[in-house]
Amino acid sequence: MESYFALLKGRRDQVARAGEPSMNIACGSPSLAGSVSQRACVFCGSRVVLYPIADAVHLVHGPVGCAAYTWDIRGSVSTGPQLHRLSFTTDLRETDVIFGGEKRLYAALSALIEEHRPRAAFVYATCIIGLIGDDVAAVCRKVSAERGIPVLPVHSEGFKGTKKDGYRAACAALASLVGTAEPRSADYRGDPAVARSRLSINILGEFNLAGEARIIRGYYERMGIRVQSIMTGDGRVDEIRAAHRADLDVVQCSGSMTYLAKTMRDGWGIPFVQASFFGLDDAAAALYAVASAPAFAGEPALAERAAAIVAEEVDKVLPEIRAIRRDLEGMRAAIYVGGAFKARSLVKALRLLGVSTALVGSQTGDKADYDDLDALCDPGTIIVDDSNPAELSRFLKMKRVQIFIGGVKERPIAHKLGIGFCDHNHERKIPLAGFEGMVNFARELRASAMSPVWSLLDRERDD
Amino acid sequence: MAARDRARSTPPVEEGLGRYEVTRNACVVCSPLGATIAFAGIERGMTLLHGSQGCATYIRRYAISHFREPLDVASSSFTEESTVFGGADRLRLALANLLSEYRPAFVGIATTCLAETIGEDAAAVRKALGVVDATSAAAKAASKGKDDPLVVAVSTPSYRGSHRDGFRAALRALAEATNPPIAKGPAWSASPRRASGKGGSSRPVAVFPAMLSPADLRSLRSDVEAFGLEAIFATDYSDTLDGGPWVEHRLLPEGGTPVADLARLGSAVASIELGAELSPRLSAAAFLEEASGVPRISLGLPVGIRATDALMDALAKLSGRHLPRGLEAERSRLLDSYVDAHKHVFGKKALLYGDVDFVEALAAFLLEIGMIPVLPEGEGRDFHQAESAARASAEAGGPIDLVIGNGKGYKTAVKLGATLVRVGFPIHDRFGGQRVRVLGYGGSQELFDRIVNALIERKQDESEVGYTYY
Repeated sequence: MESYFALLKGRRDQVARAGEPSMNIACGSPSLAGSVSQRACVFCGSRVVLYPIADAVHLVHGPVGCAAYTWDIRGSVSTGPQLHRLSFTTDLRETDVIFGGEKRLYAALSALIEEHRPRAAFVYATCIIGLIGDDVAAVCRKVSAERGIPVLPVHSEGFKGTKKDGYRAACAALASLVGTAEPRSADYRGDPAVARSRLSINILGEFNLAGEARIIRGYYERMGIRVQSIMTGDGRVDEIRAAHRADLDVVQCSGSMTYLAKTMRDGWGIPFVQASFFGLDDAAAALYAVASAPAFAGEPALAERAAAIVAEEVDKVLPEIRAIRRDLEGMRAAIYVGGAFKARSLVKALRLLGVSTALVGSQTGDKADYDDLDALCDPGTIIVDDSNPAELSRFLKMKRVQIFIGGVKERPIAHKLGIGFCDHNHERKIPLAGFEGMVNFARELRASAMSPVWSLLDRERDD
Repeated sequence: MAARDRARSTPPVEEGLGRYEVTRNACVVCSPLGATIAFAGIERGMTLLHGSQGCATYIRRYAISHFREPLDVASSSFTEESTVFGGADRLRLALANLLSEYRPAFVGIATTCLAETIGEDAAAVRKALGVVDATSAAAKAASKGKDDPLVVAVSTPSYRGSHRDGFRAALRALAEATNPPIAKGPAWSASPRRASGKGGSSRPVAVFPAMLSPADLRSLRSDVEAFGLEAIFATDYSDTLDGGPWVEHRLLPEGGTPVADLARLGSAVASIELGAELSPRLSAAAFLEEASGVPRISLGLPVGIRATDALMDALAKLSGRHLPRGLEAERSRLLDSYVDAHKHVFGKKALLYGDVDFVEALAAFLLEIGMIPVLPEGEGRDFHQAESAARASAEAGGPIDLVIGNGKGYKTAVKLGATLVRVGFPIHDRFGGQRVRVLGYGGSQELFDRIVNALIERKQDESEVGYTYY
């Protein structure tokens, strides 16, 4: 990498190129101070994972900012209650910092539960809670006993690790819910045809952005499988509490939910498979992985049904994908997203569209993720962990990237440099998951890559 | 109590549990964000937040979604160890890294609740970094940024005030760092009033705006300059947060107030500080008055004819010139439109919320055109209090017609069956928030037109006839 430009000391081990014999990327460490990381904090990790649970009160215990910045931050759709879309905070002041915030927390929780009658409450501890010594767990226990609903502390002090530790704290809160109630087929919210099915799964790490959970759930229900719970998209407390009765956990966002899957495996004997629903190949693989899971051995019909669904869905979308491919063929893309598992799917999805990946990176990938990317990507592809605008913008220029796939914070980097952009994170409003999602993804790429505005920028450059 | 008077009193500082139970859907954000926006208006400036990585990233994300521009914010990225043993090492590392990567002319360091709670306030930051008393900072600023960057630290614990306080505190910290009190000044500044720089023989006017849109900053500057005055804006992010494509690769945007100009604030003929009343602690203009004898002119945001007249009168006095013809014509057109549309707006109610600088100015403007401002109850920190006020007002007579404020009022507007007119910060749910104008005769015209049309649109949509003339 030295030959490209000077990376900050302390960042050099987190950048590599696919195919290099020494490819061994450092990851999982705290962000380098002053590097302008694209990562947020522990609190962010917890907040995004739990936020979609729609019939719970989510109370941010801390000063006003943490709650305000995460109010309705993702388009996690609920088909029922909308409680998750409200923002609650104890809004701590200087006196609370001095004298402690427990009383305020108790008052806030009591008032909110009285007002909204939620099925559970989550209390997110922010940075200063860890310092002022509030016993959040004790207040939660007290309110839980008084109100008769689960009130769960989420230990998400921002400085106590990385976003990944926030995922873990969220998983710990979810794990404490699982197994505390029994499923009731009468309450099943999905396709009534599978409400009493013998076969059931939980889907972990699906957050129902733009209604994607409905699509994914639909595939499995068409296979004859009951979806006991989705964690946490369009989430309901009671379904999560009864999640221990499912036969299998399907883990989509592995970075955020593998910890919970392991906890459920160890505690309840529920095996898990990893899956991704982005791109045709991976969406198909996600159905086959469930059909062939040992948990469903002796159900050969599942594989047939999966194959039929894949065939039907691929037939529906392939003509348009082929048409779009004609426009995009030969383009160079960059990917920088939160989780590396998704990045893998995107590399494959782009390949299907004739687009090569020149740069791929993530905020929270682990070694296995990056090794997989190394094997998957064309030689020379830049692979980067916990990158920042200065690096990314140089990589984009260097690799003459034409379209960038990332989140809100990556968008202005692309646009300022005159590069197309596709939001694959919080702000997406159309589903990008599943077979139909792949068409949407292709349309998104085309809408950006084929815009005539780039030609105006090119002219400015030539002048 | 008159709405305007109520708006004047800034939210009182906390005291015990009695004041609020819980904040529901906050309509303010935290103070480091305000400091970040203020620092973004310095040429080749960067912000470094002393605290968790998340603060920098959340604030970037929030600002990026409004301005649709890059805004790189560094963090000292606290770890658990930093909270136990102190964050000074990580702060030094962060500064070194951002200096080597960005080569900024200015670094604004704002603290967060985390740093402040362990005692690392602005003074501690300065000590840890071996910077900088006001005199050396001023010398650095006067050297026109040729050497080391100017580093300024400000205390912005999120548990004190809101983004507005952070913005103001940052402006004051900038003025303090670059303009040492006259008596203690080094030789170069022995006569701070001596004219220098591009202003020729005249002295500049110091302008301390509120958290305005880039478009409002531009029009405010143009209004001041129309009187032949040189304006030094502390600060001016009208280009840095609303600029053109980057034809050449760069890491920091063009534009912003040069550091060297900050050092000239003390030589200003007067300072104009815009917005609702400020405690002296947060007032950069109060500091300049005390330190350098620069007269302080405090005015509400110039929205509407009377408030803009007040600003124009001040500029006329400072320049010794009459209102320029172009501005006079703008005023005249605005007044004419008031007359043409007066019946559409008369007696209509609008709910205001959020940033007190805007709430106060908008309330005065609404009263001027015959509308009724409705202000949030209590501290006015959340939409819950705003909605309570709206419901009480509706019960007392007449529904709420409009909700005027940042884009976060959308859900409140839907609940109230009112139409949202988006002004201020942030506007995440519409395009062009950085170009929304409300200031001066021209900006007031745009706001007035939008208000009138919002009301007409309601009437038209509700009408069974579907009239096509209004």
